Amino acid sequence: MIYTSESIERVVEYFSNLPSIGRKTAYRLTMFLLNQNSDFIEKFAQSLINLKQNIKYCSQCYNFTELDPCPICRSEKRNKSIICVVEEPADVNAIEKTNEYHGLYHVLQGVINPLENISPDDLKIRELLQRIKSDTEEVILALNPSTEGEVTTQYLTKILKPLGIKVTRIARGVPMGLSLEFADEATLSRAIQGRVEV
Amino acid sequence: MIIKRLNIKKLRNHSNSEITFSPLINFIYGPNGAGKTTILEAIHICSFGKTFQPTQDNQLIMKGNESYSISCRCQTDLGTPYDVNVEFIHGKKKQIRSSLGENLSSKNLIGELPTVVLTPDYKIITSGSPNERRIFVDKILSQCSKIYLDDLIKFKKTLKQRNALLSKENFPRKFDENLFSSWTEQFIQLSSKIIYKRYTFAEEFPRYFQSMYSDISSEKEKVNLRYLPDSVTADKYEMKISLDFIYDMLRQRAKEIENVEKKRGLTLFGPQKDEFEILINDGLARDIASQGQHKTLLVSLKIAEYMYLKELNNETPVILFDDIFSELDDNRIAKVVKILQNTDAQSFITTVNIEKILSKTELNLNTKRLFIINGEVNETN
Repeated sequence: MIYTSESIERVVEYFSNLPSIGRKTAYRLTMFLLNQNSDFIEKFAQSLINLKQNIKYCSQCYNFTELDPCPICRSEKRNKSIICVVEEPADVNAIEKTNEYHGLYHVLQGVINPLENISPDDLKIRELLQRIKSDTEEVILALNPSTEGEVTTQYLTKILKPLGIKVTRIARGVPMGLSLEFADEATLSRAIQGRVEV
Repeated sequence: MIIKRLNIKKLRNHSNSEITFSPLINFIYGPNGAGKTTILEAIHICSFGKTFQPTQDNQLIMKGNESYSISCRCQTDLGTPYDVNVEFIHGKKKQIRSSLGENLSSKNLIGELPTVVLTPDYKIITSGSPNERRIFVDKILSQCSKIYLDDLIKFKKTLKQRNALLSKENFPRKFDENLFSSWTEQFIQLSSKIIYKRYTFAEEFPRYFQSMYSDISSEKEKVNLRYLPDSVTADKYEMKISLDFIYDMLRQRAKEIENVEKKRGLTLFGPQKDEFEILINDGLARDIASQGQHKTLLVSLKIAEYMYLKELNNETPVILFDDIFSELDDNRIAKVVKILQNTDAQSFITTVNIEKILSKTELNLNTKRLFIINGEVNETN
């Protein structure tokens, strides 16, 4: 598609680089912006600039933050002796929503994946080891149950266990609110393997 | 499972075919290139999410169109309806819907509408490389057990990852022993589950295979299917092999072969190297069977597959036979048709020459004859 204006073309180009946005949607978004007053546009543009300028990784847990260390790491209320290891910043949000966990986090920023040439050195594993101090009691591994996630869990267990701390992994099984008959067979068999005594 | 109605739109040369089937034998006949096999392909797509031919989905679409769609109405053994809808639009992801839900992947479909397929191309099962026989066995076990299917998919992924780790090109850095042993551990865990399932299969399946072979062939040859897993040897064959035993053997093998693997940059043990030997009079069928024996072996393997699936699965499979009667003599055709009639299987059989079959067999009333020409279907009963 060729538009009548260089400026429109430029914006459409940028929008269509975003995930799940094609050229048609990009054009619609551009038209929407064109119809807004300049105040909106200025604020919108400024917020994008702020996003990149202000957000950085927390130097302790490697989650996104504006303040370093991040509010979770600096909070006095959190239990500093437990660290929960997750793959991505989005996973921190997911666990925070439960309001059940009051320890600290550590974001690995990925999982081990030899096919994509991601080795332990590319993840924040060295940083995790440095964080573990004498008062650390437990490390919870909360990685996704994918092939790569499972191997990363095993790898971390191998290097954490010798340090003499408790290493746990989150349970795998039937999601709450789902009746047993709708759970798929693979999940159910895992759930049976990991059953608990009541 | 019984297929009651099939609707095919814009698939190969079928522009819009609505077909109802008999719950027993359905003969699909017509000249070459009329669109007989396409009906079988459509059923296979509803069962596995893809065709049994090597054709890409893009090429399945009728010339001059942008999409194909298939919808299939079935009835389960319990009498409840089961529907599948598959739609493919050029350049997009295949849309699969069924009575189980929306937005499914092929993985969800496998095993729901179990099918047994036989085409002349499957000659490679008895005469080809070990890989062809592994595919044959995996296809049966995947339809029996979703857990096997799930383990198999994970296993293939793990094998790829472990190979990538071993290959030096992808991994120029320092070799991390901890990382390598983590992948090995995962690999062995999945491998032992797969080998264990294949063992149980190899214990039960030959019984079906042998009885089918002696039914179809009038000779007195002895046939067998023997499982030879890589790295696992059960000398004490009497002993029931256990999952832990397989696991320990693989562990040991991994230790022995570790240095060679690092040198070669490749995984050198595991179920991707398993062999299933098909034996005839204690010799390898691949080496000694005649052309006629190969054909009889193949048909018996496939009917045994049907019997095995029927017994182990909760659903009765449907049978898709693509032009196999042109390969068999009159006597065997009569026997195969008789077996199909006795088992009450719903079967779909394509053929060019229906007269040949009709003259040799007595068909009961519930048989349907469908005449296909240029993608048009006509009932001729």
